[in-house]
Amino acid sequence: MSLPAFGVRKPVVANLLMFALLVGGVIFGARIRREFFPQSDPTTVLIAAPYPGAAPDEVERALASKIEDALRDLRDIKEINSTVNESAATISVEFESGTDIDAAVADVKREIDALQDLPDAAERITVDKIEPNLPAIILSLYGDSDERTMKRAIRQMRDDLRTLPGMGQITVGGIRTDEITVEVRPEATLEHRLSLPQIADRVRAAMIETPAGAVRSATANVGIRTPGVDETADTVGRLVVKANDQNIIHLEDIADVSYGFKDVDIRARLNGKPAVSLTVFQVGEQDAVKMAELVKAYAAGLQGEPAPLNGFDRLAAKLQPPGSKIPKQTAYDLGLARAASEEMPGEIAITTDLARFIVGRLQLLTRNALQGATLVFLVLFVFLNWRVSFWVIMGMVIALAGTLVLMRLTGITLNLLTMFGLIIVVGILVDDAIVVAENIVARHEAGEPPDESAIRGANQVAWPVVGTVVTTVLAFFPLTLVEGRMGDLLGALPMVVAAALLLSLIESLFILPVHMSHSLRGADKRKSSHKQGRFERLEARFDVGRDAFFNRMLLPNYAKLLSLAIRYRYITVAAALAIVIASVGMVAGGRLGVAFLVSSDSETIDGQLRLPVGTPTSVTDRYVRDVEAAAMEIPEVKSIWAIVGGISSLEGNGESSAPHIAQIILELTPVEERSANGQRRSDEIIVALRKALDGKMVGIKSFRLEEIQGGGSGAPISIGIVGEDPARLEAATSDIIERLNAYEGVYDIADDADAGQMELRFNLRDGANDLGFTIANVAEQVRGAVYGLEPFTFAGQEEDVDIRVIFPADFRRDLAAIEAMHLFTPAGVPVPLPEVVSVEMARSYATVRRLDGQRLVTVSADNDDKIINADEVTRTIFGGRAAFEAAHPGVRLVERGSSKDMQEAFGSLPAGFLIAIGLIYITLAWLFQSYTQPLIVLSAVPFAIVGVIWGHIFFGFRLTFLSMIGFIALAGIVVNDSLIFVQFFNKMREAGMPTYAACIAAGKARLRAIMLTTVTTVCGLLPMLLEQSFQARFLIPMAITISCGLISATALVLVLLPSLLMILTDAKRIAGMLWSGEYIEPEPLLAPEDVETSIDINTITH
Amino acid sequence: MSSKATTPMLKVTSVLLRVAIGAAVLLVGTGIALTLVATKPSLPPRAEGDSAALVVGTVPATRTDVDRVWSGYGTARAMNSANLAAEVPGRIVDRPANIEPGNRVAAGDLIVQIEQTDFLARARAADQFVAQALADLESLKIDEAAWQEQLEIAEEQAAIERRELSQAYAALERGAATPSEIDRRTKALRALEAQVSTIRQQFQRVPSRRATLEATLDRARADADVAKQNVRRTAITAPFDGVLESVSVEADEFVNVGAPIARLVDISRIEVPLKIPASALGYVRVGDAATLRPDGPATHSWPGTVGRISPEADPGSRSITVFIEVTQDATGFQSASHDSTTLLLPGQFVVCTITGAPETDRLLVPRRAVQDGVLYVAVPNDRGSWTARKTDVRAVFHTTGSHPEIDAIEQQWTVLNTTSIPDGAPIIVTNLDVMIDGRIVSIASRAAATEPASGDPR
Repeated sequence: MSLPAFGVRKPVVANLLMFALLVGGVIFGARIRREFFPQSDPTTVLIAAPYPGAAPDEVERALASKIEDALRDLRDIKEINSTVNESAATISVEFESGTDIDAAVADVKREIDALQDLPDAAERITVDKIEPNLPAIILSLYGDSDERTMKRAIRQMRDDLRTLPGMGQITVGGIRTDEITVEVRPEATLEHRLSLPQIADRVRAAMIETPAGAVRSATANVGIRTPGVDETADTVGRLVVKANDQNIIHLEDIADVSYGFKDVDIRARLNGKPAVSLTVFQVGEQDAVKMAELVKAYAAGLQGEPAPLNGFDRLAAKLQPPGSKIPKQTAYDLGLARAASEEMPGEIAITTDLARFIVGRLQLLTRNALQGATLVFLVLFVFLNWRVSFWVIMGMVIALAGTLVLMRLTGITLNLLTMFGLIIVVGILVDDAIVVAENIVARHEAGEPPDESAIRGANQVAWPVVGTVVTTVLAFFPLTLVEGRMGDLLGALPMVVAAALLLSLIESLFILPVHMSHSLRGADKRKSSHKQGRFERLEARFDVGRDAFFNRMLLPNYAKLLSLAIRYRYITVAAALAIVIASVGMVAGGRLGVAFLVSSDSETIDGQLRLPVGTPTSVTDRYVRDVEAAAMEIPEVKSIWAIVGGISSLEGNGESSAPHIAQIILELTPVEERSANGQRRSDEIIVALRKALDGKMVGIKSFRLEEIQGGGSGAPISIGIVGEDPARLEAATSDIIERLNAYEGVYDIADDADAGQMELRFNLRDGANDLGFTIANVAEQVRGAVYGLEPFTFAGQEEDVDIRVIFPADFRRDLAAIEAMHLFTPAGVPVPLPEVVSVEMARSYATVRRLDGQRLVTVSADNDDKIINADEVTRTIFGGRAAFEAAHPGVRLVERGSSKDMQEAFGSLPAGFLIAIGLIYITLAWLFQSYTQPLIVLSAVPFAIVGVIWGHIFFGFRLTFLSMIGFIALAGIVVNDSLIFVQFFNKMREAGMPTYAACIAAGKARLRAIMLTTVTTVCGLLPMLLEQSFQARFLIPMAITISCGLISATALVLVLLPSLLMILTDAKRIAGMLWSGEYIEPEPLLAPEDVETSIDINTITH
Repeated sequence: MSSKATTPMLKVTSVLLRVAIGAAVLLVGTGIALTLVATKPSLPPRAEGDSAALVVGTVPATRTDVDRVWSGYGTARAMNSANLAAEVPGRIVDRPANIEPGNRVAAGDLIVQIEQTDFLARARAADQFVAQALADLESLKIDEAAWQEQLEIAEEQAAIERRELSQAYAALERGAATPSEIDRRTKALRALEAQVSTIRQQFQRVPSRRATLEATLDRARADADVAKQNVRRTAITAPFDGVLESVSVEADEFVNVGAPIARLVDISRIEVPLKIPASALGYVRVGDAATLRPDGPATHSWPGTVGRISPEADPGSRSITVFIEVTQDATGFQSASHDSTTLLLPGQFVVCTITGAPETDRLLVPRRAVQDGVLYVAVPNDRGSWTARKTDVRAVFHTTGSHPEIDAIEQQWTVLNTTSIPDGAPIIVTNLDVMIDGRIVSIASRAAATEPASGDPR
């Protein structure tokens, strides 16, 4: 029993399945996790190798290189990146996609454990996988209250939020760790002959608490402990550091002891006021939208605002058992309670609300999907009768609902890519249902009873329908082969498409026949009762008019055109080829640009300011205040978050801190609001900010302003220079900078070789050893003076508190004072530092970056997209790679950042495309039982590029990576039209019809189906194509590719494909003549009506 | 026949025509594509001029005299001080009320009084011994005069007797006398001569007796002096104006000779043996100005001068000692109106900076401008913009301080002795990490980068 027959005979099963899918779709769809982009599996292993006190060069030589060498032979390694700083190396090992990361971590650990000759001073090396976490929302508290009050308040808020269910990882920003600082006066060390290490030792000895075992008596065990002094500044100050017959020196006699904050030089401000913040990260499977809603509810409670509950929340609250609350209400009540218990030391603000971004984008796509579905329904309604339209649309809804169920079950989230996949398939899903339903109706109209027509009609087209679905699924398959970050993002899209199409196939072959037979039975009953209502009469009149237009206007004209094209088939093909060549010339000639992705409007601008290494925080802060002042003048800016002395990744890729860096995050008014008020887009705001800062950013290294899209980021232009020799690297870096500088519209060119750091190098003098000095004790004393010594750490409130013995700030920030300090011999004699060491001021690499065992410098730059295309700049630079590398021997250029992503992504496309074409060919060959006809069918694919190119030009978009992806997917959709045509053509040929007549007959017979297939697909994508919002802008090129490519391919299928079929016949005839040596008469160019065949062509639909 | 003959020809012509049209269409398409490729727009070049230049901040090259400063540490000590001790044993009979440590005393002020009674008695006895000696001397003087007279008389008598004896002999010869007369006369002469000899002997002993008596007198006088001195020694007084650092005895306390009584220091003249790096030898000279400040938060500093310099360095600490002299007005010390914290006191630990002779006509540049012995100067080029020019320089020394005329915020400076950089030349102080010789640069005002921004950084 076939599937349609089973469905028709057992309608309850089919209906139950339908209801299950519909109900499941609603339930699972509501609970499906929403996110911006799909999360990728971790593929990177991070190795942290501390080597305290060692200079970057030493860390590189003694540690990083050895680890890299040990790992080089591991399997599936894609790239080894090392960042070597003073005292530590961080090595990230990127594995190929699909690698078992836990096994990779184990392999790396094993290799590192086997290392023998690591320096003794190096500390334990840690190995872990990098799991991306994305900041979902930031809750800030800002005001002029003192730092300790702010710190306490923000921690209480964090503790409150942690109690909420489903809350992500929360980090507190803008606060400094507590510390007991012992600032020893340098003169006092000389007066009392006490070096800093000696003072630190005294503190350690006094603070340490030593358990001394236990006395085991007959009745009880009594522990013995020597407790240290209390961990307060006062008690530490009273510690005796020196005593003799004459006097006793307490720590407070020679030092200022205070309980304060770590001297980390980080300042955070929101809207110009000191701020602290809570960043909630989405980790793993957590729902960013839900956790953001909880934070916003908590913030509303804190501020005494009404609870932000929507209708669903209120309904859910009513359904809760007595005594329990929905999480949002709990969060709100927590906020209210906190605000009631104590006064807030500042104002509350919500920034970087990723959830709003996600919800906004998904709503936009949902709207597009609904509009597309409505259009598809209207088209079907116009072209088919309303019953067919209804059940076809129902089929689409069932397939989509089923897809949501499958997505939830397989852990696929609702994100921008999967949502887009659903939009793409909206128009395609109806195709198989159309074919099945139309055939059933045709058979029924030919006189078959409803059940028979449903079963036979479905069975008759089952394999072609399977063929179209399979070819479409196969066309999306190469997306799973895309490498790199794009591959991670696109991976779920083919799964969604395949799931939807397969469910649609099941629906059309199992559920649809049931409904069609039921519907036809109803129609028959009405017809037999001769009861024809007003609607039926209107319908009949509409059908007559539509058929008249189609049969009398469209078909004859198309037949004439087709006849002409076939008669002059070689000219037709030549013209088509000429159009393809000229169109491709538009791309090759640079009239249609190629870019990796199209940027869209954003609500967050991330500004990262870097000054030369060694710049003090105070100077960095001046630049940041300039930026803040300029940003405050921009009306679209809602809030300004500034961090001086640190940069944290908004993509959750870690953070760094140094006095010479700063971050300014501008929160803009929502995109919709800006669009409504005619305000500027985020890229225009960036340009305006740059103009406002013109001339004020003198001396900076770089100031990169980037729109945060919730996905990948990085400088638009990013070029890596790899080599061994630092001097050559430096020269090559300068060369690249000069080359980039030659282009208009390229800004903020900077390299990441932090070579500008000035350092004082202390080299031990020859005679210093005689006095007992060694490099170690000199280093310890100088480190103590500048960085401080940490003799003791105790557990404070929620954090470890160090006791730091150090010289005062005015001393340690004065180079001359450090150069003039005294060092103590082991005997305690102070010796002027210049007598012990020679001091040399030199430039050094503060950070050494390495790629696969060689040094790496990355030059990055921003671009003004209206003036110059970043990808073209990169391509131009890499186009001259050979000459560049010849000019700089020992140095090579490598793609970094987005150009690396592009290379990885594009690199995997040709193979994927070939695989897809090969699989489609096999499928078609199986369907047609022919080796040559699949080639003819597939020949429509290249011609689709005409529409793709001119579509992009018409809509004003560049070709992007998603355009390429769309083109591959298009191959599967395009062949559907060809497949329908060729299959009918074959039937005509089998019936004895000559090629010409068969082509005309097939064209006339399949015109409506082919047009309908195309129109439904295009209509599904039309709302997205016409979407004016910049939010989903980056997806539009793919929509253009599919819709415009399909339109042009359809036109070519209808005209060119018959010509190619005729040419194939010609070729066969010529081959036959050449083989047999006999002249073979060409087939007569007879109209189908003039040909006698074994079948009535009017009864054949498929 | 003709139609049959022309049909293949027409067919061939038709085919050729179609091929030609097809080829032409293809050629048109290809031609369009090739034209598009040939006229492909290149990336927009940046406009000539400074827009392509790296914007840098500069400071003007400035020549000036720069002080060279050395620093060291040491403990102050008074140049005048006295440890007063008991010179005579005795009981302390008086210690004035103001004799307490920290109090100022003037020269001659009594510190303590030791009982005098014994010493006064001894002084009086000594005086008597002197008077007796003087009397003995006077007596000897009288005796000497008497013996002188007696001797002269005896010698005259002896001379007479001798003449009479001669006359007697003459008379004897003439016989005018008798031998007995001669004998009698001889005997008388001998007696007179014995008397003269005795008197002379007495007289010759006078010098030795005088010497003895004079020695006795001297001894007596010395004893008297000692006795008087001891009387004076019973009163211990301040030898100079100063401040009592300590007082070791109390009233009624018995002290032996040498027992410490008090320490007095003069705080108006202070000396600090200062340890400075041995490498400063040759740069620091006697008379160089110095500034001393105490350990801890500096509220006051004292000016001083280098008084003397130790001739050799201490190998153990690689330091040399220079002696800084500080003269200060200490008259108001301990008075209610006087702020004692403004005085440098002996025993106080101080750090000191010595300002040597200034280096004249040196180029002063921000320290960060010199990296690896290289400085970049912006020089005008023939395009009307600026070119960074690499200049090798050698730092003479580094210094700290504010020079707003060069850079408003810079505190760390390098002193150069180069003469190749003209006054006012723009010295590049930013973007040095990417600076190369010959790079086109654009000079921007440093105002934006250096002027303190408004606001209150935490």
